[in-house]
Amino acid sequence: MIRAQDVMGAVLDALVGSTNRGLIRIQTRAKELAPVRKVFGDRGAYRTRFRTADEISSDRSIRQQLGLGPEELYKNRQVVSRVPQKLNDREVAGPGRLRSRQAQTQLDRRGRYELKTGRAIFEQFNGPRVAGTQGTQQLGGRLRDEIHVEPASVQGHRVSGRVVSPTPYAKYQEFGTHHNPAHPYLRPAGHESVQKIAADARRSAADAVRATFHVRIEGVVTLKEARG
Amino acid sequence: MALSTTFPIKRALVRLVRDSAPLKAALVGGIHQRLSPRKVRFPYLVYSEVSAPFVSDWGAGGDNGRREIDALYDLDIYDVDSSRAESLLEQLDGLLNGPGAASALAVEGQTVLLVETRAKTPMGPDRDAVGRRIDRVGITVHIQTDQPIPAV
Repeated sequence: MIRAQDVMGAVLDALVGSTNRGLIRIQTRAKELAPVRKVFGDRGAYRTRFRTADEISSDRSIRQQLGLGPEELYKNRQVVSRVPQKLNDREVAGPGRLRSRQAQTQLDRRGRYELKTGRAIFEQFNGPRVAGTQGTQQLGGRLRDEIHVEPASVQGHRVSGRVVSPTPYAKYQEFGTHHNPAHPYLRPAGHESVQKIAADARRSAADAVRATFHVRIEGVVTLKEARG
Repeated sequence: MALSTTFPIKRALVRLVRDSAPLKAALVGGIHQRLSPRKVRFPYLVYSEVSAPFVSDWGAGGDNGRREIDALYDLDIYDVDSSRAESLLEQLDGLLNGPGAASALAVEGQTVLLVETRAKTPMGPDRDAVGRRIDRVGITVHIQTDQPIPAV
């Protein structure tokens, strides 16, 4: 005989695993989208080019709808590639010095200023900050590096976990202020991933029950986004 | 007909707010995208796209294929009077959350499947350059549309 309690236990265990996978997916995407302080500059890497005649003619109707004037050939440029911001090469070795000599030579004026004053240097930890431990000193990218997952846990018949961005200015980036426009990174990450997480949760729960009890179940998995 | 992006959704959303006479009259400072100009009068509304266009294709072109777009927009009201801001937000919420919201939102070239408001923007009051308190209240709107995929 199969007890409903055992089935629920197996389903919840499977859902904890799939929720954790989903949270890591959101965290990864949020880190990709999170704005990072630009400290590197290299004239060679920042390229612009003139827009082609085809590109200009294809945008003509949309420019008219927006009430913008016509574009001119050999006058309107667009950015082709931006300077790579070396997200894994920002470790600070000492006062005014990066660990990577090559990265140090590629700092732009702002980067050199930030390094000299130490204004944008922060202590990076692998995961959440732990009191009494020491992380590595990084130049910029604090918002991105502090995004972390609080693993899923079972509360009654509910599985919940969180992706947290604990940086004090995170909400100003996510929602904007009346001085600065928003650069959302956490909500888009959740919004893009929610369907895949729901599908994974359904599959995991069904597989767990099938593997443990050799029966098939049908049910509904409800996902609820929460923010606070 | 070519496939359209989130641009007509944004335009329809702004048109819906502008077409509401009481709301338009109350928003003295106007409606702005992402950021308002510096010396605009209060209250005013700022809208911005939250989520990058999230597209799902169901089927293929010429085979009754449909393209679904799932977009999120933030609508924020800034005002020096918090109760007036709250009442404007309530009007906005009623406009976008009512039974006729999906039919009222006329998106060019797309069929609106869903319009709903989500959680309120969790932002507290701010101060401007002269130290005046500015209240900010806002909502996130979820809009789902679909459109036929043209045959190649």
